[in-house]
Amino acid sequence: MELQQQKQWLKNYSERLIEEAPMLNALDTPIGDGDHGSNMAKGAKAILEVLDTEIADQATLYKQVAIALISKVGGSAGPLYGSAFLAMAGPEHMLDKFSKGLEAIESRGKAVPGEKTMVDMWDAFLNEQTMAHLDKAIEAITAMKATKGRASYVGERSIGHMDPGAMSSYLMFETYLEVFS
Amino acid sequence: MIHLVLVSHSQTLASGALDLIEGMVPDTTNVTISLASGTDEGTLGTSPTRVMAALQSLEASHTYVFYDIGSARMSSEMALDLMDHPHNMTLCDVAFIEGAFTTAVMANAQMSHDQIMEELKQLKKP
Repeated sequence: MELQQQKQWLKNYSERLIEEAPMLNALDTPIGDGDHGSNMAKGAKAILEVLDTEIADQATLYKQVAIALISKVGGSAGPLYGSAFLAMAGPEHMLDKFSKGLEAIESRGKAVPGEKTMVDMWDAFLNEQTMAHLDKAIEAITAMKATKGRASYVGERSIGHMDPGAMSSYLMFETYLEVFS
Repeated sequence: MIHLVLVSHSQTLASGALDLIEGMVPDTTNVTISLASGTDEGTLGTSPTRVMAALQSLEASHTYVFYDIGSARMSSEMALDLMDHPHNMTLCDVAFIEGAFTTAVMANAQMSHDQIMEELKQLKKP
């Protein structure tokens, strides 16, 4: 896949994260510490700085993006997304990259599908790469009960609440489809 | 030299833990404690790069890492992953304050790594 397209996607994703930071913070407030949006926006700004530099190949691109997220995000999303992008630095095509990324998130977060986390959104995207499917997935995740991470402490109260991590991943796949479809 | 690294979301909590341990273990000739707390901007949070910097700040015979809540664990694990898990660094899945305090006391009394790990078993996080 063209390096230029991948950079465009990451640029769009970063800009969307900065734009949607208040929404992600609001989603994180009842079930987390209310900073998922601000944290991701910090990471996004660091990604935009990476995109402004000369990048020779896609391996460098993904590694630099991973480092930006690992050093700047500040919450669990940093190591989770950072591990995913590190795993995506290989020579694979996009879907295989996402599949490697999901494995890395599962291993870093000791998470599996069905626990109402970003893992469910990645899993859904790997099953079908359409906006309609992403929309269905975010609804299905919202209806789940959280059994992993801080949201699991509020138990039943997490049902009907949209998961902020799943939502930030939704934005990632949404911007991906905008660029690659 | 035994190295303790305290990973906390809060710089105040980490420096408070340091105060507590230094106050309770006045002779720390065999122990050095480093802090990896908060984010680069000084806000609440953890960062694998800050944990790595703390881990690398001292050549110790053994380094024990203690962490508080949530992402502190993931950041610590990621830092150790990025350093290829040196054999003389241990991530301690135990109560943050009690674990660091116990290790400081035992390390200062020249107890072995095995003895320390045995004692820490009783402080495992649920």
